[in-house]
Amino acid sequence: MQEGYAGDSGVHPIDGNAVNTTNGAGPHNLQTFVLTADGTVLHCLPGFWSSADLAAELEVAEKLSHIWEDKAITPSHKADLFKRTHLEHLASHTQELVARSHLQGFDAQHIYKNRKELSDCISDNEAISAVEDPHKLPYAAFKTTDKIMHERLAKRPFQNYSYFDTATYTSYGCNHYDKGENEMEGGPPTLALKGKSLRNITRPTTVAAALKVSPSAIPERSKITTATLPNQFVQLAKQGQWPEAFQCADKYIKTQFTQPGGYEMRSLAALQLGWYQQAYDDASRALWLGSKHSSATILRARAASKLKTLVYRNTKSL
Amino acid sequence: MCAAAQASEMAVLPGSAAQTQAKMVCSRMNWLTSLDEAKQTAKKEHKLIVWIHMLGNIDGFT
Repeated sequence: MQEGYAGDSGVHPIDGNAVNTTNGAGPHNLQTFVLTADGTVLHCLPGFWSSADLAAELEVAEKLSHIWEDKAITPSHKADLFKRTHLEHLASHTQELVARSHLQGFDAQHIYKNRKELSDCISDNEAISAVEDPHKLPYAAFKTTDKIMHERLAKRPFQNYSYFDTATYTSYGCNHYDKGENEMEGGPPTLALKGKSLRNITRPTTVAAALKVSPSAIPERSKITTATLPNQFVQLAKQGQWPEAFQCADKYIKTQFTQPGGYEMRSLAALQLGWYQQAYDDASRALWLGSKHSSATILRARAASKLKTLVYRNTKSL
Repeated sequence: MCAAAQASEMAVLPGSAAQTQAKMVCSRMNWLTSLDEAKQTAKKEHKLIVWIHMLGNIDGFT
């Protein structure tokens, strides 16, 4: 709940109605990780899933755990097997499962509005580009949530939970998710809860501890405390050492990947280095994570402007 | 979306049944709130960890 990517909802008491939904709905409100004992992510199901489909995905995670623990397999081969396992399992999904995994309408709307950042959620770019009325979207042009999930996981082979970018991984739906089941027949009196925000009234249960690294594992020259990384970035930026500043921002993000500051820093460095797409993505991420600095908006606009110029130049020569 | 999917999507579980199931989930499973503790237990028992991020409280408002 304290994380920037956590969603919101209306308030549902424990004796309130429950209603079916589609697989993967509410990706910001719920994430189910399957981890090994050392914190390696084998699977992550965003949002709500039917119990039968969840059980099948847990079997995939169990299969991956054997690969992870097999000392005879090299790290690169493990990464390849991770990717293949997820994509092959995706290919085995039945039509019924796929039908249970279609996007909710408001999530499709959200993806359409943010189609540049969420292009990996779209299966038919031509159909999306041809949309004239955003209220009449061709839902077949969007990927189903099971496809989004497995494809995104395939790009994150055996990542440690401490470094797993949950914000980006779950970024395909609206922040607010509520099916209105409280108002359905048979629900408890909820007048006192009407209009309330779940985030405002629930208590945090835990904050997952970051993976602890013993001091002896860190080489002496690399001992950089988190507190000095932003200062180092500023110094490097003043000296025009943008590749080093980019690396510095990258390190900072790894220590605080749910906070927008590191992404703003990396966006600035990327812009200076001419990596406009990177700059645009990082500025977008900073804004998504709740950045209140005008710099994030300015960086995003500058990167977008540069990207447009590049597209114009490229098409001009055709 | 086909008619069968539509019909199953909007099926409603009444509050009393939902509360019973929620109580079963809370009481029959020993939920840990510390990931470090979960890792230690998983290592000792040679098991995997199911770690849930959720908005709301599993035994309260959701």
